[in-house]
Amino acid sequence: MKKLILLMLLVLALPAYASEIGYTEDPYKISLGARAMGMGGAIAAIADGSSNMFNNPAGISSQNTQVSSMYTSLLGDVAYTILGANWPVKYGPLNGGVGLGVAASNVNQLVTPSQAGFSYFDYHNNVYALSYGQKVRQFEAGLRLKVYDEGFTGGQNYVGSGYDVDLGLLLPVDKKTSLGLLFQNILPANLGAQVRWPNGDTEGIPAMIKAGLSTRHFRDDLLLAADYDLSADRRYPGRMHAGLEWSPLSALGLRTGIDQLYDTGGVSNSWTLGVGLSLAYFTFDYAYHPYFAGLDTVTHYFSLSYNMDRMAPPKPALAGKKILEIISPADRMIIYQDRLRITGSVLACEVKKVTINGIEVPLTNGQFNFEVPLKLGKNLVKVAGLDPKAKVVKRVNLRLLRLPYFPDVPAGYWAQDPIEELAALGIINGYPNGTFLPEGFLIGTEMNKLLINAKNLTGAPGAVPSYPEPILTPWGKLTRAEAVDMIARYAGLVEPMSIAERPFADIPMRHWAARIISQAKQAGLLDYLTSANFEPEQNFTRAEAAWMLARINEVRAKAGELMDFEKGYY
Amino acid sequence: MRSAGLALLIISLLSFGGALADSISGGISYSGGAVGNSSFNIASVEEFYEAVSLAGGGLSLQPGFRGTIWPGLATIVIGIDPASGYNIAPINRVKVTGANFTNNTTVRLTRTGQNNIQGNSLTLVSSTEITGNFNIAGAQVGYWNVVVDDGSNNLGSLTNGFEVKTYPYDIAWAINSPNPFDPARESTTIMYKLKKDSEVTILIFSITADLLWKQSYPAGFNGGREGDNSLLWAGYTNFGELISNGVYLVHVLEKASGKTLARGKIAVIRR
Repeated sequence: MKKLILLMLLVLALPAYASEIGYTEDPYKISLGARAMGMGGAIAAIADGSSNMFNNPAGISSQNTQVSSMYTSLLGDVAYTILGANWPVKYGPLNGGVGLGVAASNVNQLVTPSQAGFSYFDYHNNVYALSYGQKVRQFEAGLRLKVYDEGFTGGQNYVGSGYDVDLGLLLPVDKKTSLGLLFQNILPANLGAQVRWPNGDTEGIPAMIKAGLSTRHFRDDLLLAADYDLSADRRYPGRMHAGLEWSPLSALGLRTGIDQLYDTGGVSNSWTLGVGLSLAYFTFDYAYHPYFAGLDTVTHYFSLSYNMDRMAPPKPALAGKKILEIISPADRMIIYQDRLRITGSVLACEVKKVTINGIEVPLTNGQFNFEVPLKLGKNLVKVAGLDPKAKVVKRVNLRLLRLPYFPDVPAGYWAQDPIEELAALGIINGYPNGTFLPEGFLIGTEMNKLLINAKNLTGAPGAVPSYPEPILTPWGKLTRAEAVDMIARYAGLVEPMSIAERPFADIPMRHWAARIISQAKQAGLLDYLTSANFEPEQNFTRAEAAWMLARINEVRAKAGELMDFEKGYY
Repeated sequence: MRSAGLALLIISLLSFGGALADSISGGISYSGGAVGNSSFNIASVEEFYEAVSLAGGGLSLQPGFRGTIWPGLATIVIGIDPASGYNIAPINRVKVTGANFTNNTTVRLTRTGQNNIQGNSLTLVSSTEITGNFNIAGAQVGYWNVVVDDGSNNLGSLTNGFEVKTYPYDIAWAINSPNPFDPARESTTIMYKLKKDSEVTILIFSITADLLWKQSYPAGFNGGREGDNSLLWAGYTNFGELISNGVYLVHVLEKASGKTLARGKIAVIRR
């Protein structure tokens, strides 16, 4: 990270070496591609696009063959065309992707008026790019060499040329979130990174940093992205781009975004809209981009791309064929271990690799056996089979619920379920030595902590009650009557003015807790008591506490969610 | 007015003719067009004119005219060739004829309520002829006076001697002159036509759609008036930088509706 910060500072310091007569215009300054424009220009951290070689070159490091194009008539006058391709390369130390393309901006029919009428000339600003991207440890890096060809032809003949380099990085934050960094025009002018004109004048090529973040949600159907541009030319302020892409169907992408534009000394916002339609390997993207409030000239962006990674339908040989089999465990399993072996078999020769949670696992004679860690609660284990081109041809998801294991809470123990569920929810805890001590007696402060935990987890409105009067000290062991009094009041039960009969044979009508015990019994909180007697002076156990708490509505709802395999795994 | 000016000129010549009858012969005629209020101050014989004519009509001294022009006195302007031009570009190699021109003589076009248009790249061909250029791009349509100044407050003028005319280009265009221009050395004049008086906003963009410069103009005044409008842009952006080589896009918007009335493309070459 320190190296990255140093690099950013270096890029921002570059203008100190820059030009004699200002800066040339870099067509790569704007995000290129109709998909990017539909998302407000937020593209630096998106690795799966077909226009990566024109945006963040790190994205081509693991892509299959792509062909990208875009056309727009910017503000009605600038014909912007991009055309390029990138493909995987494996040669010696090179193991990534190479891209070749051009971003061409042309303005034709410029007018020179004279007394004889008008004569015309043309302008072009074409930037040819050679890109290379490769995975480096856990991130992807890319370099782009750009050659500038800018000038006038026709009635005027004045052409300049130059070159510079961009550096891109893509860093996975987690499986759904990526950070993108793009350092544009990083070479200093004294290394020749400038546009040189026929009269010897030189123009600098403006350095810029684009930092982006992208994240996917809702089964990856929703893509959110944001970029921030920081120009090395201090006269230009930083600007934001933010956008989203929603894919209700795999062949459809709906987009919108906000593109911040440089506006007479500051920035202003423009809303953008876009749509992408895919058919097999081809994608057509369109973006609608108005520029500046009050300006009626709208710019339309069109892209057509060919993407071997996208939308590849299952090969006929694989259709209906069993490709991948998970031997153990089954889906929707309750697990008590913190690590679990996933075993299975590859049944189709088209599957060359298997990944579990994104990690490639070794295959031995088509078998895999790989241990994954499990956290307490819900776990989704994703097993994927990949073809020789690293395309996923089969995906199996395993929903696994890990509950805590207590050796002193054996299977079939009368309070096993509430103890495990409440422990998984974090309401009640075991001891450091791994035991739960279900028959251990509860003291006042422990009960208080249990009720606070339940309230924090469930957000239940009930207040944590104070200790009932018979308790002389919070550190004293609770009697069953005292504990029931506390839990019942926490559950929101109201003590009646009077009761018609004894709730239990050993609870006289005048007992100080008779009325609340009666209410707790009616509410089902004491169903675990099978005897006719309540034994109010009996010490209250941890198992009893778990059982009673699990009967409170809010806690029961949370436990129900925990045990539901249809919710909370994606 | 033209007849009155002509009468004054003839009277003036005749009166000198009466005083120095030996030195003047021939005649003077008027063939239409602007004449101006030039006066001859004939006191000694310095130069001899066979013929001096004003192209495009105006004053001509017929062959055989013999007069004497006295130096150090009034500067005389007799004609300008060409006598008209379109206000879309400078007009070059204009020939101004008259008398008593010196190395210090300057020439300008003047019109009431308008900034003078100073002749540049002036060349003194002889004491009776100067050539030079006039940047009439964006100048108001109509007749302008041709004023010759010898640098010592001796002015000669040809009233309404030069006509600035409009060029019938597409009303959706905004053009600029010079184009390309070098902002390190000059400004460019942005010109466009409006169908009616309108409050307008001028926007100038880079080719990557950065809005670099913005200015509004009220209806009925230069910039927002019916017919020809012209604005001078020095090439500085609102970000405080002088623009570089390249192309910049001009949009003329009707402020109330946001409708684009005209568009143009400015080229910059810093040579």
